[in-house]
Amino acid sequence: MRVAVAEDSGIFRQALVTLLTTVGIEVAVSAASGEELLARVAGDPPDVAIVDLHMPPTHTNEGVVAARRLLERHENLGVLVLSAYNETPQAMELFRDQPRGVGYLLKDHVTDVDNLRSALERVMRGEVVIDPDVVSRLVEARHREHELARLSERERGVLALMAEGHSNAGIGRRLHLSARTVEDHVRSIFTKLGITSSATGGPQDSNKRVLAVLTWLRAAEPR
Amino acid sequence: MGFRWHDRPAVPNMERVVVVISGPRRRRTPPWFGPEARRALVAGLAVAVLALAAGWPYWRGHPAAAAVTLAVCAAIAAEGVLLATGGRTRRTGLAFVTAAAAWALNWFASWDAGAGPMVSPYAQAGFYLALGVGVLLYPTGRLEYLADRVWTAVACAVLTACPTAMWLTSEPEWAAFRGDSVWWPAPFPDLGLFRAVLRVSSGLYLLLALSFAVVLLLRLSRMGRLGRVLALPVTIALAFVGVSAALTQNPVMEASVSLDALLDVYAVQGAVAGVVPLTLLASGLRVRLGELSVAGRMLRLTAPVTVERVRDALRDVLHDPSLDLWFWAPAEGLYVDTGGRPADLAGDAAPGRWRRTVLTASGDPLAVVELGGALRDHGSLVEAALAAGGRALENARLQATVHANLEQVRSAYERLVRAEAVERERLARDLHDGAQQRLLALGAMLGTLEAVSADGAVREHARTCRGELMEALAELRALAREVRPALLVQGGLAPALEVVAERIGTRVRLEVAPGRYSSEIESTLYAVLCEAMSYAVERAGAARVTVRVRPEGARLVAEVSDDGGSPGDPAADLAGLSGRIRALRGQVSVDGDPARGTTVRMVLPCE
Amino acid sequence: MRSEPGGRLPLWFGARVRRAAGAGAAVAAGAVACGWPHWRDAPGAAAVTVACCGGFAVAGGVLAAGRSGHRTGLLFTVASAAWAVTWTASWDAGAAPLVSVFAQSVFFLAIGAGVLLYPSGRLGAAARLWTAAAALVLLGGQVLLCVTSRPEWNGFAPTVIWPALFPDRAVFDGSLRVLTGSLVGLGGFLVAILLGRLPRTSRLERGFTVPVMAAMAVAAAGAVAGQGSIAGGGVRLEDVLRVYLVQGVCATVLPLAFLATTLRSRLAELTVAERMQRLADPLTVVKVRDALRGVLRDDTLDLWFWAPGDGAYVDGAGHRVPPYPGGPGRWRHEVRTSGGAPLATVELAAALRDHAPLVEAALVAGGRALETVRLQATAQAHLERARAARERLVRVQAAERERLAADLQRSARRRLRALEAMLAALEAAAGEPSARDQAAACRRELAEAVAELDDLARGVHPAILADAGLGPALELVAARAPVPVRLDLPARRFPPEIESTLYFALCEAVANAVKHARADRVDLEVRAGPERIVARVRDDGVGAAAPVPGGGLAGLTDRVGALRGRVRIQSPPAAGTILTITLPIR
Repeated sequence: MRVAVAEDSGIFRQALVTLLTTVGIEVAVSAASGEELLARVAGDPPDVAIVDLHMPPTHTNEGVVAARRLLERHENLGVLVLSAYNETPQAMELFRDQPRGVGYLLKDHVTDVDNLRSALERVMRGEVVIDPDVVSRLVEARHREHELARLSERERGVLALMAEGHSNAGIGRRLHLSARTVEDHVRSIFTKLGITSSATGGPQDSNKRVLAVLTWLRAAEPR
Repeated sequence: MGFRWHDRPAVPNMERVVVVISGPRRRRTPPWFGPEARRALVAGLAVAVLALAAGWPYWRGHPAAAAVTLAVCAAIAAEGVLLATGGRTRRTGLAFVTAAAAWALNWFASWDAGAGPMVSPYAQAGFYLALGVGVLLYPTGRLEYLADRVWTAVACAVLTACPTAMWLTSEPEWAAFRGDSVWWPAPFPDLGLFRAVLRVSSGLYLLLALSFAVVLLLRLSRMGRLGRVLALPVTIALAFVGVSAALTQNPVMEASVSLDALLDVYAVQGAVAGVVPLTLLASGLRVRLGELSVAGRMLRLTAPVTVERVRDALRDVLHDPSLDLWFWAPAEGLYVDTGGRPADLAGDAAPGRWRRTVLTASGDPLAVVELGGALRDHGSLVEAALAAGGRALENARLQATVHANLEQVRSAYERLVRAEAVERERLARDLHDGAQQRLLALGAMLGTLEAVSADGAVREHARTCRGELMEALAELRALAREVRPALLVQGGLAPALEVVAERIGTRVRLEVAPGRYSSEIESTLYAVLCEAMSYAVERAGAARVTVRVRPEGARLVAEVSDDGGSPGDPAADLAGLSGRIRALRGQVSVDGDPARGTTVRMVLPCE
Repeated sequence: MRSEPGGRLPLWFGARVRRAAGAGAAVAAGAVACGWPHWRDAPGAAAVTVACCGGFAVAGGVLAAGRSGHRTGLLFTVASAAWAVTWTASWDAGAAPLVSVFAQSVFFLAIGAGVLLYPSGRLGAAARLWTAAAALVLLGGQVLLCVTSRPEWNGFAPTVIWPALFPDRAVFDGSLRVLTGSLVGLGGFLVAILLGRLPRTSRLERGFTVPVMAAMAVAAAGAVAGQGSIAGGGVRLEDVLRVYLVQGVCATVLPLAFLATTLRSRLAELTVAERMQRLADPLTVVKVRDALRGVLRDDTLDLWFWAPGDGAYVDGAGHRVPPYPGGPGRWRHEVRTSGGAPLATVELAAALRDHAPLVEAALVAGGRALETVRLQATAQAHLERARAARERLVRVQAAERERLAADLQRSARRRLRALEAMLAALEAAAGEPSARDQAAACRRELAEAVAELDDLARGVHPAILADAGLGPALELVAARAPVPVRLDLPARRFPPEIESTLYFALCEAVANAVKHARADRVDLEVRAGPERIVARVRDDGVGAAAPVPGGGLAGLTDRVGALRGRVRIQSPPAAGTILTITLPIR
């Protein structure tokens, strides 16, 4: 796998590159800003681009901007956006317009090699990946608690995993449930929350489902 | 911190007439009895003594006439001396003194001997001439108009020629003088001619009197308002005196009248002439009253004090709608007009205008006033008005100074708040960019260590370290959030408050209008809203809190209302919050009771 | 701006003055008609009499229009009319002489009573006695004289109507002498009454009364002397009329004196505003009160200022105004602002009621001064409140920074120290060289992070400052400075906001001396007195330092100012810089 990195903090970038190289991932480009990354990957796009959310000049959503432009220019490129903070509503812009191959990970979890590698692989495959902490923040957020209260404990767990981008099979593995049971839960959740989705299976559908759930969760989140 | 030094205002070519507002001076004699008054008294007495001596033969038989004549003579002389001390009325005063002396001399006719009878007609003519010219010279001290000068010349000619013609053509008996020792040259005595001279003379006298009235009326129309007020009574009095003199003279313009009849006429004329000093006295009194009442009128007209009011009051009091006033602005070091615009006062005042500088008691510049040139004749009135207006202006200045101090303290407060916000932002960034990135890098390095090591124990150990590191990072973030929430910087109030609302254990309803504001407003509002929310939950035990933030025109209104019952006084508990809002020139109102809950309403100005 | 329409009558020519002028003209015309036979021969006397008579009436009218001399004015007008009627004697026919002599009596009676009525408009016991006696002597005596005489004895033609019931020369001469004597007595009595009043009148009053008394003495002396000269029998009409003339002229002094007094009181009203405006800065309530005392010549005048906080009038010591005036001779007057809000209560001698316009003028001017006092006090209070808020802000900020620094030190570093130990153990445990190297790198990185956090915490609030105070904290600063810094510091502690403000300001000053002034040595001294602390930083650098707005020192100056301190920079070019910070300690 070949990746490109855009991160303004030199210390962290260096450590990240070392980590990736150590685990056998080739770092093709290591840039200090989104602009630089865009310029340097133009000719030879890597499999995945890792982009920091907060970069100069404004330290707000440069990572999202860079990610969207990368996705526009390079069709098969996956983008993993990193953030040091959980409370970053602007990162959710990433998932507008039902993209594919997009991930959002907290920097704390990047230090876990297995976590990082699995996220990179899923993004490369075109899946949507969201950090479990971000999802749990969204689910725990109180502004939809009324509707969420109608879900059972188990259903809430399934919802969180759905939002993280896991497939029915993945959810079933994690919760030790059969695929069928998971499917029942999913249907029940969708009905209770009033989410309409044609998603039944496959990576593309799984993406749509993630986005539908995300959209529902973020509905009350202020922009 | 700014140090600025200003030179004294250089106002070139400005007439250096300066009003200094000063305390009362101590005087030993009564204020009205100064050296001028003493001189006037002496002059009046001297002329009265002269008149007494001159008319003694007549006075013996006519005490009432004597009293009146002596009083009038003395009054005119005293008035003359008083007027002579004032700068511009000096010539009028001298003319009046001359007139009084001439009238006293006139009475030498009563001796019916020596040169007295011959001098008497000249003295009488001199009396009227001096009175007339004196009034024409009043109040400017110049014969300003052509008509004045022509009249004066004609009057001089007529009043010299007629008495001369009289003694040239008559015997003394014909002219009422029958004494033995009367000195009367009579070179060409001819009764017919004498009668003609008398007729012509009396006609000329009447003509002079009437033309004098016309000249006075002509002058009147050309005077300023204040001048007219003063000149009108004098004019009427003198016209009356002149015409009545000409008319009373008429019966004795006959050959062979008796000396008594002539002297009776003199007595009546003298009594009538007494009107002139009386009206002048009244005018003088009016001027003084005007000066005195100016302070009171200014006082009434300038409440409450503004520069504009002071100017309008001065216009009103001085009857000069063209009056202009510029106020010295010490901070800017220049004169400004009532609208606060700087004024260029270099160069001369326009022709016919008069500029004066008003200083404070301590000698600092206070204002410049430009008035109509005609007001130069009323210097003391102007001075009184400017002294009163100066006091009001000083008052306004004092208030402005306190106001400026207040403004200075407030802006220092604002700067302190802003500096603190900047500092906190820097600290938060340092935490984020420095320590946090370093610790995250450390995390990646631990990850690398985990990857490179084949030793299971080492890997396990590294993982534990990583966990510990993540805890430390979380704490650091919490601290950074407290210093300045990253979300507030990035997303503004709404998302930042959203996160706070999530953390608080009570149901919080947020109605926050999207939009970004200046960083000190956002951080202050964020801090006080957090404080208000936690107050509602922790102290008031509210189950439901509503936070509303919305712009209203140029203001931002924030409201926190809860359903809790506070055990204390919410206003006192939230005093710190109020201070921060007021630092940004906002207002806070706390309203509520244990039954209905508390509502804190904050209004902040924002551009 | 008020505009005065052109065609109106002048302000001073109001209805009262018009009435007075009318009365004067009427009386003058009456005098001409009454004395016509005499005037034909004596125009001078006529002019004088008519002028005096008219003037008398005008003065009476003017006085009658005023508040304090209302009755006096009316009586003077009556007197002037009586005097005009007196001249009917010159007709020497019919009832004219009889009317004349009684008119003369009325003239004197009216003048005397008028003077006694001034200025209160009331008659005291003595004054009532005088009036009764005068009526008896003047009217009764005149009746006696008429009844016991023939007209020719009085200088009149024998044909006139005359109630000569018991003509007797001896009785007539006797009563004439007695009456003349009584007249002198009456005059003396009148002057005595007036003199007796003098000690009781206030100082303000005396200024008005004395001229009237002097005039009265002149008039009375003239009247008595004139009457005395015709007190013999067999006088001629001419003599009688001449005496009338002299008496009339003398009497005219009186209304003139009254007029002068009225004018004086008007002048006093007008000058009051001017005098009150001359109050010197700074205005205080006491100054205004003293000025009012001076202007109204009432040393007992008291003033209570409205205290909005208490909602009551209070004096200088904060005592509230008593509910009722302090005695029957006192008078209370409320002063309001130009906006109508309560401002002050003034208590003055009741005698000043007679000078209400003067009091009014003085209180208007004094009210303005009091309003200024209040405005200044309010503005000053606002300023003080703003300053206090600023001071509080700095204290709160200092406390917050200290807490923040402590948090930084404590929470993050506690875990990091534990991590340090764990990493050390990891390094020791790692067998593979690569793992050991990596662990060592991790430790280095951690040490860097800890150092960075320490720096941050020190920038916020050095721990040593909170723990050990200004001295040790500044010693550390001096030790780190690249040039020698000589320290002279007190060992004692100060309030935290003072310590932190001074610390950062002095750090900034030392940094400036090293960086901008390129100094070779710096002297830093802090002197603490009981009330203030003075810190001075002196360097031998290039000088010519000026504070830059928005610079580091400017922000610290704000903080020093907020704590009511001052920063002073003396920096002549090429002569080093001295920065002095003065802070009050409370």
